Amino acid sequence: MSISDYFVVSQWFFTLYFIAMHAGYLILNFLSIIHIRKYMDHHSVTNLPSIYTGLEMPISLLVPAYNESITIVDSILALLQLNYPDYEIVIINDGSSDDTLEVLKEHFELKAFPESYYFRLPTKKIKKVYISKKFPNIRVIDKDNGGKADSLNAGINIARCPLFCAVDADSILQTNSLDRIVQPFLEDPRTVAAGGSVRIANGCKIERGFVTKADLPNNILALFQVTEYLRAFLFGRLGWSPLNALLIVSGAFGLFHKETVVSVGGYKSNTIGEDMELIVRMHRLLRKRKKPYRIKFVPDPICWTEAPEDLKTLGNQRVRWQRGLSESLMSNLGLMFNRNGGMVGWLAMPYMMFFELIGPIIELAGLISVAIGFYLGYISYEIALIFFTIAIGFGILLSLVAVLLEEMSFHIYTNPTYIFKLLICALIENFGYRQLNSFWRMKAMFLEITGRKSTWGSMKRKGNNT
Amino acid sequence: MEYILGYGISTETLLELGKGLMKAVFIFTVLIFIQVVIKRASLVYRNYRRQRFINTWRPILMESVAVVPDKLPKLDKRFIYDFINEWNTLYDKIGGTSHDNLIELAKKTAIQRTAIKLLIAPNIKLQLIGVITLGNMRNEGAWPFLVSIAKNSETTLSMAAYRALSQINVDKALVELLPQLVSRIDWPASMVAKILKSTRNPKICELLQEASYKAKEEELPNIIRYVNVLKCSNASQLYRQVLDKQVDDQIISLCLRELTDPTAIDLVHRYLDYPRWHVRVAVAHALGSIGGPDDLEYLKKMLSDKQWWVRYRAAEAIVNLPFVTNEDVSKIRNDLQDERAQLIIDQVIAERDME
Repeated sequence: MSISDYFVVSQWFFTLYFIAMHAGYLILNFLSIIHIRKYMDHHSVTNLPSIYTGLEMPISLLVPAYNESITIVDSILALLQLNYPDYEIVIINDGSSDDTLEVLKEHFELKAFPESYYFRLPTKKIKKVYISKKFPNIRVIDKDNGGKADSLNAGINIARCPLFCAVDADSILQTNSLDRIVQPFLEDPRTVAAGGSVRIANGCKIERGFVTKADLPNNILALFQVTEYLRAFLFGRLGWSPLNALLIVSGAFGLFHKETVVSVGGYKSNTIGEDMELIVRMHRLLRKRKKPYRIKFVPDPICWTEAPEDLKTLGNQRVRWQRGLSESLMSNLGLMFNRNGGMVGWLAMPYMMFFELIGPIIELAGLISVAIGFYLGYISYEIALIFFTIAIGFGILLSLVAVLLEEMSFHIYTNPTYIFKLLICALIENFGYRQLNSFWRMKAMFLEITGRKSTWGSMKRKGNNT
Repeated sequence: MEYILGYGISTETLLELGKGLMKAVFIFTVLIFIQVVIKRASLVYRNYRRQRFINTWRPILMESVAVVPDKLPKLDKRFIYDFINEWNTLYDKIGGTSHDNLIELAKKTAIQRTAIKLLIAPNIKLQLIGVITLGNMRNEGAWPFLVSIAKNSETTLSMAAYRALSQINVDKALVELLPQLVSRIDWPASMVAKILKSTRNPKICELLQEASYKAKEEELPNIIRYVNVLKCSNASQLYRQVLDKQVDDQIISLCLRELTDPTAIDLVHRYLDYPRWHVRVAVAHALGSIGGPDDLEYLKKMLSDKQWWVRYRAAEAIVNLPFVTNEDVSKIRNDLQDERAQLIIDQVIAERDME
């Protein structure tokens, strides 16, 4: 095969790969559109009888905290204002080197409590358990540092309620968040986990720990992430949910059936993406045990998070996410194409593996190959142009569908001009930003293959709480 | 045309495919862009018109809570659903005789005709609006339609229909739909329980007991819960009858947790060493609520159970037993040899002291 033949064949390969990948995305979009219409039909009737009043299942909110002394009090005060009849808050001080514990002790009048600790999941040493004299539904575990997964496991061990909700200390919840996310558990007793939609808080008006007005950020990177989150949540997850093939429940806000999580061994401490790994493992083990279960996604915007506004932090975050994806898939490979794998084993996992995991490598390789072929004269101007146009065109199309889904459902951004801002953002994010993301994801794959550690970096928070 | 590897893989074919794809992507992109803009524009326009309509009708609705005005403006058919929604929202917020006034207003505006039409709408959202409205209006004419929806539809709609029927005539709804109450395991028990609490029909307990004879195993938990909610005098008899059958251990737990009759303590004793821990948790709970001084020894033994929750419930039961004093608890704690048992008693005492 001559060099010229190589370029033709490789262009065919890349084109077909792109078509398959985007066809998959478009099918997910189609499923999401159907699902969101049904969901809105069911949930937008304002006068539905309050059918679940009195049936709400008690929830343990688990809040891991590591060096959060500046924000922890405000976060907990906001959690105390949630509209839900029965919940407890378990804060896990993960060996903070700052004065997180002292701040908590002072504000919530903590006193040491003789908790008969229930060691079901192994964790680092628990130093002490405290209970608040001011708010009896607040308990604090003080433990040796072991990371987020270890903290959550400690929280699960001490949690009293049948459901637990993992909340990042910096997540901003809506007052009705718990009410919304618990619905799948009430509607279907087979539900073992539910994830909510996460939105970008940058630019929003935040008062007393709650988002009171959704606004778009001025920072261009944060703005790109708004469209990106719309895409990730409104069709990336909504599309898989009705197939019971959801592989990710965001670590920022997810609700779990405690006994099921304990039965699969809790969170894995030695992984970067502990939230995704847990979900994939739940799928694998529950399918293996032939236990009927559901993992659901609630599309309502119920959790807000601050997005990185500088390239370094964003890059670190994306590298971590990609490595988390890689670890989650690789450590549960047994699920893929398994006889009992169902939709998740035969569709979602291969899709994640071939398009999300190795997609960035092929995408960048395709773009580079076209550029080289064109430079060396093996690929015509027309072919190169078509290739780039399709690659970018599909990206724009997908971002626009995400904006459409938002328009079909929640209209979070009420100001009409915002929709134009989002539309423009959906166009321009495909020129540079998306490729940058592919680069970070490829870097993550390189680090993963070579076994090198990725840096966590520190999130530069603006803390726009008023 | 240049072919490579003899498989028709050529630059020309790729070019053709690429051009076709490019056109398709471009067309879809433009269409979606336009659709987003149109959707937003129509939302803004609709909200504007709707606001004007509401500004006219909201004061009338508020006034109607006290007295229904004699003269009403013409109801614009385009906003009938908005009116119905406003009416239902207000109906939910207020109570007592004001409901009668709102029903009078609804009759004057003839929204029941629209509500009945909505029952056969193709969209579940509209059907729900129809069902809720007819229930709030206590429209007896809609009874057969609502019965049919309650019997045949999916969870949300059937529940709403059942609720509407109970608003119209709670006793009739209970008797007529008792088989559904028992068999619809998708209906939240608490919703049904709320409705059951509002009935004064003395026959319901008997009907539930009769239903339990024929009930499938998955239907038994509902019957057990309802009998408990109604505080039926025949509850213990029913639990005994259920427990005498070979039933799932979830049902055993449920029966034990619901026991309130001290004469049924023998039922609890049957399960003291049951292998499934959640049943032993229910046993500890039951001993705490209906147990006597003789049962204290069983509870002490349970403080050393291998399952944390059994130990916890046993400790709770001991601390809260009416005939056990604080001194007794301290003595029990000091006499314990097992460290886990001591720790759990300490925790429960600390919790009690917090209250």
